Amino acid sequence: MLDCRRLTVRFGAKAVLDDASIAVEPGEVVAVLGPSGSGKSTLLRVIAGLQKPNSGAVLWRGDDITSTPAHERGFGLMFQDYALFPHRSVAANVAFGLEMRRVGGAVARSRVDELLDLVGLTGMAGRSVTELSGGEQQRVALARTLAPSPELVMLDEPIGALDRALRDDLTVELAAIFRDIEAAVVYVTHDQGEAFGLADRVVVMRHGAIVGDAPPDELWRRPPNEFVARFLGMDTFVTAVVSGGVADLGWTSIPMADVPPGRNRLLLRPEAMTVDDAGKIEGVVVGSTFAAGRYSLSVEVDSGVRLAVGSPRPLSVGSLVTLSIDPSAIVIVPDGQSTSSDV
Amino acid sequence: MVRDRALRRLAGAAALVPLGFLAYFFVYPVLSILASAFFPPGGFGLDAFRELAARRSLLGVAWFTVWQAVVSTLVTVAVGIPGAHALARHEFRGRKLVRAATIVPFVMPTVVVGSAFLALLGRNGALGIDMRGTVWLILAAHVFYNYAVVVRTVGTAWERMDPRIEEAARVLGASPWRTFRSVTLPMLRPAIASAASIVFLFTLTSFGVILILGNLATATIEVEIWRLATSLIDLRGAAALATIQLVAVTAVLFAYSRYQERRSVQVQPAAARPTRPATWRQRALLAANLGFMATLLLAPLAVLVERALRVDGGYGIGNFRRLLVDTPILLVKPVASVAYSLAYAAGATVVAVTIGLMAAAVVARRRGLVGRWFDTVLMLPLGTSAVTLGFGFLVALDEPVDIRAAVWLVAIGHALVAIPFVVRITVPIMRSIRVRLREAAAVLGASPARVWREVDLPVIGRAALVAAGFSLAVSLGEFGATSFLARPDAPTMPVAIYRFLSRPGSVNFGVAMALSVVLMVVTTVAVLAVERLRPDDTSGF
Repeated sequence: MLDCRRLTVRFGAKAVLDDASIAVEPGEVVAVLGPSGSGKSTLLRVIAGLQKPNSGAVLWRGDDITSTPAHERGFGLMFQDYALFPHRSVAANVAFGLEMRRVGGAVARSRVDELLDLVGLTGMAGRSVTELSGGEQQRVALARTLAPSPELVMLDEPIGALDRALRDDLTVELAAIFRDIEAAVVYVTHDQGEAFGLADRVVVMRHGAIVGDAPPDELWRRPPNEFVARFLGMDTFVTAVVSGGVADLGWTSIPMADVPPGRNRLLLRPEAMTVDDAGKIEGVVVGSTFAAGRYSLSVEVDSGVRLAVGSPRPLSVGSLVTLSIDPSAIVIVPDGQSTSSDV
Repeated sequence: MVRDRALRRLAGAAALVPLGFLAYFFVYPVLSILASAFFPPGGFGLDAFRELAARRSLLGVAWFTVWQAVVSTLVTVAVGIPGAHALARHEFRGRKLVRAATIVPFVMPTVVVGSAFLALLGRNGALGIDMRGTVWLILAAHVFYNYAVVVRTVGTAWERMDPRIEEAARVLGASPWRTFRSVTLPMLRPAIASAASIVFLFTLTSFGVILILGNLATATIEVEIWRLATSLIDLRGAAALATIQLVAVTAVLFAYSRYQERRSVQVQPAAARPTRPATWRQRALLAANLGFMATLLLAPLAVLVERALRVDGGYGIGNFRRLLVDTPILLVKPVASVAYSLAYAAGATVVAVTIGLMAAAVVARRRGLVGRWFDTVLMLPLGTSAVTLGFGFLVALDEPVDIRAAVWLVAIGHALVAIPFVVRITVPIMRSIRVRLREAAAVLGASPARVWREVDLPVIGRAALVAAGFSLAVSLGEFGATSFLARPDAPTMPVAIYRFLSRPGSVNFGVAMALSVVLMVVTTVAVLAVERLRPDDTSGF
């Protein structure tokens, strides 16, 4: 339905969007994930018609809309920091898009009420938007975006400015709202938890280019490159020499059937290593942190090789542990363009 | 603790100095005017007002005063908004220079503005049409003079407006024009209203421009007060008229401050970065805007210079030479007025900055009722026309000691006009000193005196410099009060220029033009110096 082809946007010599292509199907929720400055917002602005690309095309239902002005596209865009109209009430903010489509009177009023109910702001219609809390403003912005029933809804870090607890609640609510509306959704965020919790598909951006595009579980199981893996929080990489279906890591050997022979860069996902008294790999605990009910250990298994290992119980620094390894949680990561140094 | 109390007492004393100054040089003269309007010899009476009302011409003057102010304001706002947009939203080479240049007409002495428009559209004007005495000439001069107020005030608000709010409207289906009407304009409304009320106030009490460009049919109340007091020597009539104007202006100011109060609730979000015009339409619009700005701002001043250099049968510096020789029109050589002006300006600046900073310190520290009340009192001279102030000095300051002939009284009058501006400029700067900084310095071991020296003083020093430049400009250009106070043997440049302009003959006209050019240059230098020192974070004009 939406098809962005090879979009490039340059500000001076710098390409903030670099040959980026992305397609979105009806009803699909796509999360665009990346660190700040990776071009996520620019991508939304190009799709919305607020930024002209230097090259490339935006297609909507097969029609080239690259030079259609923003107000004729009929998309919805919810801005970071919401961009509410400070001189209009809550209801008048939500009704703005309807006014522009010449929807007025009772029809508009009932639609506004319907949306305020949807976002949990029933009865707030007459309030001034300047006196709302951050969470309430966010809800007004969402209602305003959805009111004209756009077929494509874009959200730019919609809950990034809110505090943790509120964000978790809203992620669940948003997921429900996205399920109810029939629109395609493009959701920009730098938080992988949000992206994974909401999206049918996750697109990862870096330096204006798209470096990953897959459903969440696939992206997690088989990160296409080291950048994506590290951005998702997986940073245990080892070099292995593979021959005869066995990967030799230097400090241990693992049977791996579907790995090409030769030198390979392998990613050990966090669940690959477990503390196991019957394990064959010996190591020394060099660090231990506690988070979300679990201990995360840093275990040195060979000089200079430290692995992140989850543990349900605390282990003091300096103690010896034995580990076991699950070969199915080990992934080959193509070397390619990304290096760890510039993450 | 003891030291704290001592400091507070010192601050209390600091508040008394500006209050005393205002009481003697402002409240007392104004009350004297009211007294002579309401209390003719022999007790209370409204005869002065009745006599005024009986004169049909005065009704005409009042009517003209109001409608020319309304039209001037509307036209200035209409042409100022596109200018504000160009400077706020577009990046182009020389943007900072243009922005700085827009302020020049506003601080140009009114007499220079009058001279410039005479040079352009007066007898033998550069455009070949004599429009003296028409309202068109007055409107043009008012737009020229006040353009900066709109461009600055509205432009600053525009710069601070989050562009994403307009973009949100675009995405929701509003065309560019619809976005401007439904989103941009309503959000700018407070700034536009604020600029409009300032322009309205200035044009309502316009004096120098109208005295030079107008005639009996095109006179404002301000000019009429001056005429009654100086030519007709009808002091009671002048006092009654001044009273009426005082009430009207106070009402406008009151409405304005009420509006400001309501508006200050709104918090402006993040600022926009100006962008280079992208489409040919934007480029054309920007070019048209800059072209208009250049024509409006440069043409009158350029013509002024041209006329100053014009002598019989060509160009030369003959008019400037005449500044150095005796003339029957002044008791001194014209060039002496330059020295007097600079001396008055120096004195006025010292007084205005000293008293203004003391007052600003009180306003900035006290945010409660006391601070607001004090703030309002300090703004009162702004609402009182300069002519009324000068007239008040004349009526009041013969008692207890007759100081009306004192040379320094001119400097005091100028300081009085400048103090509200000094306070306006310095209070935001002083408030920008963050409490956290003081606390940080104290925690790191600085004594209260040391904190003041390390944290407050550098900022206040900068504020004082900016205020000094502004006071200089105000004093150099002041004409309304000066026309009452300057002694014939010690005239200021504006007074000298007006003398030459009010006499016939091309020689006198040439000398007036030359002296106007000198005044323009001196003022411009002072203002551009201010513009360089001005910290970026202060807004308005």
